[in-house]
Amino acid sequence: MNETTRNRLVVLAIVAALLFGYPTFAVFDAFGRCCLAGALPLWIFLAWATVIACTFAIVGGRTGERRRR
Amino acid sequence: MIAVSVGVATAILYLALLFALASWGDRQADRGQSVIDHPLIYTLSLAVYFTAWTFFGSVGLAQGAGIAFLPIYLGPTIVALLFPVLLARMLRIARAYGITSIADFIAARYGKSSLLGGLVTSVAMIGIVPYVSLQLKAVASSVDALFGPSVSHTLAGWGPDTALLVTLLLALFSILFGTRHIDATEHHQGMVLAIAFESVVKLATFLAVGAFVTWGLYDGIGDLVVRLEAIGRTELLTFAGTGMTYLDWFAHTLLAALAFVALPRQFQVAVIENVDPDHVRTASWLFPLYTLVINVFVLPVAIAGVLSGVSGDMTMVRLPLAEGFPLIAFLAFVGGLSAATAMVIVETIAISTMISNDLVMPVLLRIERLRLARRPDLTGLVLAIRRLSIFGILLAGYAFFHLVAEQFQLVSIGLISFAAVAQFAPLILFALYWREASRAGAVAGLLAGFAIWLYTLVVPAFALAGWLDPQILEAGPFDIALLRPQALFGLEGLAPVTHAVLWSLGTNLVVFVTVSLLSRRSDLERLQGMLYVDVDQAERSTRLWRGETRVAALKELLVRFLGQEATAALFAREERRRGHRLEAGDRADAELVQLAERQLARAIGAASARIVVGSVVRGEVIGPDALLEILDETSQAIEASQRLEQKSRELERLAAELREANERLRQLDQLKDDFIATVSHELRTPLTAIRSFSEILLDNPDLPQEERQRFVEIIVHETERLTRLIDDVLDLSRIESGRMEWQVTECDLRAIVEDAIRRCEGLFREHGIEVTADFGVSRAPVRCDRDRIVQVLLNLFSNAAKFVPAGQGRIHIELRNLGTDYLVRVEDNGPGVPKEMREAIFEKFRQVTSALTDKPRGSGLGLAICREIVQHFRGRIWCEESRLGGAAICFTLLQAAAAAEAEPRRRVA
Repeated sequence: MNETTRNRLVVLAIVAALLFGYPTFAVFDAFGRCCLAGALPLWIFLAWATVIACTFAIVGGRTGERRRR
Repeated sequence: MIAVSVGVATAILYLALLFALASWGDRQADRGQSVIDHPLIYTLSLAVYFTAWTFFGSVGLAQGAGIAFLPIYLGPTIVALLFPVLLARMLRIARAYGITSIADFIAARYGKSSLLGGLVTSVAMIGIVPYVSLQLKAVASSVDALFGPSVSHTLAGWGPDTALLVTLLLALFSILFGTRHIDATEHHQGMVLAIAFESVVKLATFLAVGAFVTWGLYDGIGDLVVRLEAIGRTELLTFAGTGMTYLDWFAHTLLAALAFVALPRQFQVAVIENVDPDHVRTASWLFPLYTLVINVFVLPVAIAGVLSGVSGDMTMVRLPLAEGFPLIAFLAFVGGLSAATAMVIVETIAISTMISNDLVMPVLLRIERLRLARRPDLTGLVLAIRRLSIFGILLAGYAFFHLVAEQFQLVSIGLISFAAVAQFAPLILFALYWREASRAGAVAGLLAGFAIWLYTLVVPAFALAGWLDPQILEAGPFDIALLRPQALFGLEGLAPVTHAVLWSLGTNLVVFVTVSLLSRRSDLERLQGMLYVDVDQAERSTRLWRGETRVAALKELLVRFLGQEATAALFAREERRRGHRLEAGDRADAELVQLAERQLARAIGAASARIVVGSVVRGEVIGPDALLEILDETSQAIEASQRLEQKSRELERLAAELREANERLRQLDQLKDDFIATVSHELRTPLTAIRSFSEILLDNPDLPQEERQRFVEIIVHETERLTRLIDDVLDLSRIESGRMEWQVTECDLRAIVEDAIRRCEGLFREHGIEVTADFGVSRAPVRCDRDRIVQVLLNLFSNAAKFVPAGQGRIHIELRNLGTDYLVRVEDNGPGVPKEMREAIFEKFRQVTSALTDKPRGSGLGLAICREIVQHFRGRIWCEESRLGGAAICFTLLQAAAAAEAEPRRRVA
């Protein structure tokens, strides 16, 4: 795994930490209370899935990098 | 209701199935066929993280606190993204140094410290007991829920309760599969396969129960939310419903992330059992995916429980039962059993290895009276210690379950353990990235963090269970309010876990860093620090052992711990690698001593291995001087390598220059060939004409006078053309070769232009060309060779005259002052020069042809000569569009004053 990929993963981890934390929460929590019940859990699971998809794209699946090599 | 006998039979059958699967996996491994060498199996083995806490506890928590169960899974998700950065490095280190457990990993880094290894083991042992008890409680509670309360406490009326039976069964299973080999780094392939299978079972059962509740009992998630709104409980779907602050949320996420890194069982499956480091990349996205999927139905099941009036940790079992679906409840029981057994097996195996390698063996080896180092075979002793440890941990868990844990929610018990093992995280992370981290700092930090953990989490748990005076929570010990365990030093308003995490981890960090910075590190600590932090380089080199012993002594030592067969195989491999026999009397070199130590470390841990190797090697500890000497040699080698690298770069640069010069020469050679070919062609045309007409005159003396006269004129004309061409070639050749004699004087460019116009008056008149001139200056002093500049102007004028339309030609000449230069512009109303040809016309033999001038006229060298002359006087010549519609040839010449100023600089240059 090259340095760029590692750096991308570190950045993604930081972004994920922000996605799952304040103030993103405050926004969706408020939305859940005023307009759409369940908006907060829905947001968490969507953000979670997005982070997984991004990780998959970065590390290239099981043999992606090996194949590229 | 399911019959008790069916339940017991199923549980035993399930464990038997795991047993069979693990046996098959081990047999395949013995045949050299790894059944776990697949990223999916590796990821599923990592899912040992999901225990009965996930299976039962999350739903129980979600019923009262909504999404509060999520941080425990978001933390590991974030850590999983860093697997290729963090875990890959840990794997490299573990492989390079034969690491057997997390205690070994930490102890080896901080100077192979037995003290630290023992301390980490003790903390892990104590910290993990509540976690084991959680699993036992979960299994016992699920039995209670499924078969009725009486069964869980007295099964079949013969005394021991179900939890004890489960404890004994799990102990047996763990002993059978976890302590088959003494080499702790040898993969427990059968066990990993069984754990992966259990991960599939718990995921499948959770999804099955969740889907049944969501779509079988209700009309999907939307229906559940609508019904929840109807009873006014939507706060479960909001952050307020968690009863947490954002700080609590952050603290739980951080705690889970750190615990995920530091849990002994996670280290066991992620590092020790890993067979291919490449699997880590797949796990970095597949593990979070598993985490997400297993959590999808937690909220729906919790909401369904709330709607049906079923609550508590056992909702997964009780809800289907209450709705009349005992088989679904049984499925949930199997899933929970699976989650609990996987955790218990791996955790006890990991901790028993730590107890034998880092706690008991180092102590026993230090007791001289036991003379263990001289006993012929120690494998039995090591295995016995591990087996007893497994048994002991499970019994301790069982005791904790009965004495304390029965009164707590599963999640609360789990968090106590998380906070304990999270104390290892600073030691691990600093081990990987901070060279200056010292053993003293690690010991002090861990002790401080652990003490605060005991005080802020275990003491309150004991107080709530009635083992301590509950007053201690309200008033503090000896009525000192500042020391209240859940409001230490007045820090109030935080959830107990957040409070404990902030205090224990904060203290651990501060003490660790401060003591590390203030303490002096031993030579071995520095060396190990370097090996861990620079593992990539260290893997390739470093032989820093100076000792003296014989091959026979090392062999004898290895036989005692590894057995005759394994030692013989090891030496045979080493002899094959070296290509010669290792004789008993030979002196063992540093490489062999290190190999022996590595192999021993795999069996008894790094700290113990160091002690036993030290007993046969008359070792010389590498002191600062020796280390400096080694560093000096290394730096010399690095310097030499850098010099070589520099020379290599220089050679590369020279080679590139040579290639470039060669290319230029090739192009010049081509130009020369083109030039000769063109000149020959240009000479041949007039020569052919001259020769033909001369032969006609010679062969036909009777030609009429007019004809004769015309032919002679042609011959004269062609001769003149030939002469011009030769003059031009000679001029160009002289200029290009630098043999031209330039008569440089200061002269007036205006006068030169006027002189050239005068010389061409006849030509202009002959072609009927109207000539206009515009001199913007009265005098234009330049330093140049007057005759050559006249030659340039005559060339430009004759060119213009050649191309203007007959009888209607117009030529405009202009002279301007540009500041440091004078500009001469010769414009005509001829056909002009196409844009793409404006550069090319200054090349040799490049002429413009057009419909008007179908055949090029002139030698094709005129403008090339002009460019050489103008450039010689640091001027510039170019072609552009004329305002008269044709071409405009412009050139500049440096003014005399500017030329005089530039001249000395030019000479110096």
